[in-house]
Amino acid sequence: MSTSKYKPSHLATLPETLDPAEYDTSLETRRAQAERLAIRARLKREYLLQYNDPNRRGLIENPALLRWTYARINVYPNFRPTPKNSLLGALFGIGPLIFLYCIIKADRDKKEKLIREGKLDRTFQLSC
Amino acid sequence: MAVARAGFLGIQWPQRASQNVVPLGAWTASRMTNDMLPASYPRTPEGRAATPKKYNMCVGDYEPYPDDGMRYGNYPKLPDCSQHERNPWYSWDQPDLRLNWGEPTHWHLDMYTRNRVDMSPTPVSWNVTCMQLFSFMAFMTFMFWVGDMYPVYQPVGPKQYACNNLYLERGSDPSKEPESVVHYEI
Repeated sequence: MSTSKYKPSHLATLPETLDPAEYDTSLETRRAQAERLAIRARLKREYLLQYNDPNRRGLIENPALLRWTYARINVYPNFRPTPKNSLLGALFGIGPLIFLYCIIKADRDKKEKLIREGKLDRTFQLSC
Repeated sequence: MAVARAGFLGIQWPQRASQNVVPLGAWTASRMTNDMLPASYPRTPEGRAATPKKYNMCVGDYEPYPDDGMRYGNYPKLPDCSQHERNPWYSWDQPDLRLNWGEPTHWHLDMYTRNRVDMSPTPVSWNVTCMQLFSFMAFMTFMFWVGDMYPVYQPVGPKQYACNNLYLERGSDPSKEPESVVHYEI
């Protein structure tokens, strides 16, 4: 079946068997696969050397994880205020606060109005 | 002079042998150097060629996030696949995370772990799934709303109580004569 009705989306990726790149056997792809395998083998060798070292006492640190941690923490040097950034920041940072303020204020004003008119049932009210 | 130098080298030899027993300050806590850490977006072609080696990637695979000030720097943009989709039978270095040592980790790895977001391919495509679910929900909601507007049930009449419509039980005066209620017609 050359065309499939399955459409990938941001929430469900394409299965490997339906991906045409899986069946690509050209020389470039083979070379890229060999390069990836070489990197993978080198990393595995480094890991196993450290893992099976009898003099090793502590944990093996994972440089990829350290880089990931560093990147996730030190985001401010790479930050630059752009229109999109500022808009998102305002929307998610200040928007909910203003929204909640308006809702709570409106609700409390309504209640206050009812209390002043004496319409609210305050028989079991403990606070004043 | 040569004796002193041999003595000096002789002192160095046990230090090199026992690499785990070192005084504080003689060995760094981590073997990462500053050039191995992530940096800002690569602007020069040399930077673009050198960065994937730092991240243990192929040059062809390396694609940085677009430089729009959204804090990514030169971190590689890996395809958005969750850890659920990775081969469960391969012998990973870290089987619970399905991750290999030194492999470039996705920026959102903590979201894509096997406890959290799962982006495995669905049996039918996402559009079809959503369409089926929402059309069913919409249809049922509509039918319930129509049923609420036009209720259909067996014909009923008012309930018929005994003892003159429960005259005494309803708290009326026992000395007075209740009016007789007749529930039938002949």
